[in-house]
Amino acid sequence: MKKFIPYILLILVLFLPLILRETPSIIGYLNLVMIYGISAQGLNLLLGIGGQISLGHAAFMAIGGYTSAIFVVHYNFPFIIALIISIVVSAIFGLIVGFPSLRLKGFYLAIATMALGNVVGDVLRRMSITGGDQGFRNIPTFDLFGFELESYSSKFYLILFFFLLTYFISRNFIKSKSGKSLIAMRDSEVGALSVGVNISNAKLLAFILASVFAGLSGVLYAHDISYLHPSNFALPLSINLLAITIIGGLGTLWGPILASLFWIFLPLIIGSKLELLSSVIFGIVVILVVLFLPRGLSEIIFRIERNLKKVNGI
Amino acid sequence: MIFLLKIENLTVEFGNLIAVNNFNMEVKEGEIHALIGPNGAGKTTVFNAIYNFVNYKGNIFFLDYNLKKISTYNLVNIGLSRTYQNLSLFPTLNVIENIQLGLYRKLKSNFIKDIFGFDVFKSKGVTEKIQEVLTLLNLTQYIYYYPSFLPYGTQKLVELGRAIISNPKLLLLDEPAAGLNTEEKIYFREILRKLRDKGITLLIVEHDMELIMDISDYITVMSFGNKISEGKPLEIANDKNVIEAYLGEA
Repeated sequence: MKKFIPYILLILVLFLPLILRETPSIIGYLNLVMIYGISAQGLNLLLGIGGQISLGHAAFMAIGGYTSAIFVVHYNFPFIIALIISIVVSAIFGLIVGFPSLRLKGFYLAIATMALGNVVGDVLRRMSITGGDQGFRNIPTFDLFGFELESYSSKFYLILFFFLLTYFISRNFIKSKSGKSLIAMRDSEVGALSVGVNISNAKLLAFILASVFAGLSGVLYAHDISYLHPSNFALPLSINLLAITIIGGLGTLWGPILASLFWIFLPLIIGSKLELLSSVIFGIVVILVVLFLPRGLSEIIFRIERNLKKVNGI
Repeated sequence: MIFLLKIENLTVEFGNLIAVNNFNMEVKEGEIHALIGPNGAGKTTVFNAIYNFVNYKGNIFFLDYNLKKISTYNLVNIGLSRTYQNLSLFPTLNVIENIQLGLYRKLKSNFIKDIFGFDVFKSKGVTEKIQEVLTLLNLTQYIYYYPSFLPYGTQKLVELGRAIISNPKLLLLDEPAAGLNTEEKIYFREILRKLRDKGITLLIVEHDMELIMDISDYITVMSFGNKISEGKPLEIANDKNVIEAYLGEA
């Protein structure tokens, strides 16, 4: 029974645009959930698996989004090529941002990454090719070999593809030799060193992965929303992404997914009835989650799994 | 090659404190060599110098390598391995995953294999190797436990397993018997002998004199950063300097 649950879920998700065809805006929000989910998955690899904090994660998204937008709008590159360029640029940027992590830890690393995030925002604001403080307008939607994805549901399938891809990569990576080397580094640096983990390389790998995931998420955001502004990727988003990662459960695969669902939809649900109180209620719920679910929202999945095992008598 | 490890004029200073002072030591291949001394003698600092965790003057040679020029993470590749006084297990990985990581440098993988879910730790020959270590240390029943759920002595065995699975030539053990009960100590002693018989040279820092006198082939004694004596266990037991260092001047 348990084996089939992921497939049943997947089929359900594939039919969501049909099920929700009366309310396409929900699909629009789900697209955002997946976009932020990809970014949070990257931060999860960095912080949850590698133990390296970043308060500049949103800047990685900006790098991806702006790179793709520039190449598509100013240089007329096809979307797919722009996407690949953006990912390469994000990887290089992740490598650069990763260097301070070789010398800094904890709060100091947090401050350094925050400063780098601010620098990115400032540079984007002052450049003309990015639209500066006016923002980058009229970014075309995803263009797949001549097919323009206009509707929420067509975008949904493209974003879902990347979302599942990043989930698949994270899942395998965490179990792999390189993934275990990051976990080892997070758990005990001297232990990792004595089994032969090159700590510098492991840290840089964590930053590159995080940056590539965030960059991809930024590309999807740019062509989904069709507008970019530096302030969208400033410190508040970085902190929100950090919150998503922690609320979901650090180092868990489901964490970033559940928490971005929660983060996008909870304010919508409570906001529609209690507009003034929505941020207060949201804040309280966040505190409750952190207090009572030690492994974050993914604790719910663990508990369901455990109960299913009991039902099946395993 | 007679000496596996050769420490020449090792001096380690922390500010004004001289932790290790012009220290010389040679470890012969195939022996169990103990490094003993009262608290604060500088024994662990010697280990940390070998592992490049501290800056030092002097030279440390292992085989033909000058260890000053070798990064810590490469030591396992040239045949060095160690355990720590306060354990350095990976608490969020279970026993078998902890031990598997001891093979980190022996197994080749790449990023593409990694993200397609190819598990090098399950490849041919590796499972058998892991099983061999688990059997030797009697850990088979604990493989899915997380370290913190295990008794301290068992955790030490897990760390030992992680250290020996890479087939080191020289194994450094920092206080392997500390915190163990009598039964565990007897078991540990047998294991150390088995490791020597497998051809692993052991360098042990330890406070348990009974254990040291029983299993060591050779002993070096330190006090306040200086070497005060060295020799076979019986010679050490009757050495005036050693008795003085441990019991104070008579």
